[in-house]
Amino acid sequence: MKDYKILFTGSVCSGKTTAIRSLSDIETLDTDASASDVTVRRKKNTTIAMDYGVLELTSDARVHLYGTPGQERFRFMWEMLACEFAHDAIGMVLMVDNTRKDPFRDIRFYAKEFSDYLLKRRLIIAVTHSDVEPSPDYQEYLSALKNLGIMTTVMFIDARDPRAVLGIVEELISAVERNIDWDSVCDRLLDNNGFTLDFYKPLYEETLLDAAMNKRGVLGAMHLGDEQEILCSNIDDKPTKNLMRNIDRLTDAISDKAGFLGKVNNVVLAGPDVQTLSVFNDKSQSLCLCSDRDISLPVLKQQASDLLQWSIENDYLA
Amino acid sequence: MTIWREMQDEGLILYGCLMFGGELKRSSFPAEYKKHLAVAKQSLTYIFRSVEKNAKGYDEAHMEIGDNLFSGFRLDKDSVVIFLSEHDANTLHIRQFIEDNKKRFFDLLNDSQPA
Ligand SMILES: Nc1nc2c(ncn2[C@@H]2O[C@H](COP(=O)(O)OP(=O)(O)O)[C@@H](O)[C@H]2O)c(=O)[nH]1
Repeated sequence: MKDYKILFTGSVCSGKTTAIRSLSDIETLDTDASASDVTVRRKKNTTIAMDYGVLELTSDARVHLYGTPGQERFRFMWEMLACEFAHDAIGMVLMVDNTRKDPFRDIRFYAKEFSDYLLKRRLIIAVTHSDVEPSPDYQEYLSALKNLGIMTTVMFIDARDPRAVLGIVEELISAVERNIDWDSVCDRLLDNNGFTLDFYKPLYEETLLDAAMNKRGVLGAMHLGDEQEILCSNIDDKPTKNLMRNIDRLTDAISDKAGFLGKVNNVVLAGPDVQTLSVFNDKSQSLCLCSDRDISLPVLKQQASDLLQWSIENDYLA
Repeated sequence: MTIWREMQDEGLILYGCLMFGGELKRSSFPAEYKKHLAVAKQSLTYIFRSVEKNAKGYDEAHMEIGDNLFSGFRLDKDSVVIFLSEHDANTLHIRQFIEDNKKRFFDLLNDSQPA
C-alpha cells in the first residue's frame, strides 16, 4: 500500500475541516472542541487540535489528509504536524478565505510560518468562500503571489464540493502516481456524500451565526429573542454579553417610551482600540455583533439588515 | 460662530450639548427639541454607565432611532458631548471633528458664560 499525505492549513473558517470531511472515506477524526477560554470565537466549534481523514485512490494507494488547527495559540500543533505526522507529505494546501479583510496577508503569514516546510514541498493555494466575496479574483491572486515571489498553483474551490477538493488532490498526486482513475474516485465520493449535483445548494445548513461569521469583519455574533434571551451566541465574554443585553433592553424601553421618535433601529459602541459592538433590533429579535473596528457604520448596518432578513427567511434553522 | 453652528454648517449634526458629571452644561437644542434632548441625555448616560461596568476602551456610542441619530462621545471621565444628527450622518467625520476640536469643547465647558 502506498501512503501519500497532504497537509491542509489556513485561517479559522477557511474550510479545512469541510474539505477533509468532503473527501474522507473514514469518519473524519475532527477534534473540534469548544474553545471556551477565548473571548470571541470565530465560530462555535473551532478546530483546536487537528483534522484527519483518509481517501482511497486505488486498491493499493491512499492519501492521508491532515488539517492544522486554525488558531495561533495552537501553533505548537503546527510544528508537530509538520515535523511528525505530515513530515513526509507531498504537498501543503493553504486554504484562504476570500472574505477575510486581507487574504494576501494570510498568505504571507502562512508562507512564512511554513517556509522551511515548503522548501521541499509543493504549495497549492485554495481560495474558498469566493461565492460570497468574489474579490480578489484569480488574476489578482496571481499578481499578488508574483510580487511575493511565491511560485504556486492557485485554485478557487468551494470546500463543500468534493469534486473541487479532489481536484487539489489530483493536482498534487497525479505528478507521482499515474494509474489512478480520478473519475471513479470522484463518483464514489459523490455517492458517499449523497452529494446532489445541485452545486449551489449548501451541503450543510448554515446557521445565523455561520452566516454572520461569513460577513467581512465580523468577529462574533449573538442572537437575542424578545425578552433578551440568548437564542445563540459565539461570543464568550460574559461582560460583553451583559452589555449587549442591557443595551437591547434599553432600546425596547426607549421604543416604548419615546414613541414620538420612532423605533430604535440600532446602537453602536466604538473606541480607538476596541472591537465595535453593535445591537440591531428587528421586531421580536435582535442581532448583536462584534466587528473589526475598521468596518464602517453603513457597511455594518447593511450586514446586519441582510442577516436579520436571512434569519426571518430561515426561521426554522435558528 | 459657536462650535454647534460650525458643525451644523458642515452638515455633521443638527444640535449638540455638553454634559459634565451627568449634568447638562451647554446645549444648542431648541425648545421644541426638549423631548429629543431628554431622550438623548438619558439613553446615552445609561449606555455609557453600562459600558463602564462591562467593558473598557469605548468612548463613542450611537443610537439610531427612527430618522434620528443620537451620538455620544466621551471627552474624558466626566465629560460627554452629545449630538442629534440625521440618521445617515457621517459618524467618522463627527469623530474627526471632535478629535480636532477637543480643546474647544473643554473651553466651552469651563467657560462660565451661558452658551
Ligand atoms: N459559502 C461558502 N462556504 C464555505 C466554503 N468553504 C467552506 N465553507 C463553509 O465555511 C464554514 C467554515 O468551514 P470549516 O471547514 O469549519 O473551516 P475550518 O475552520 O478551516 O476548519 C463552514 O460552514 C463551511 O460549510 C465556500 O467555498 N463557500
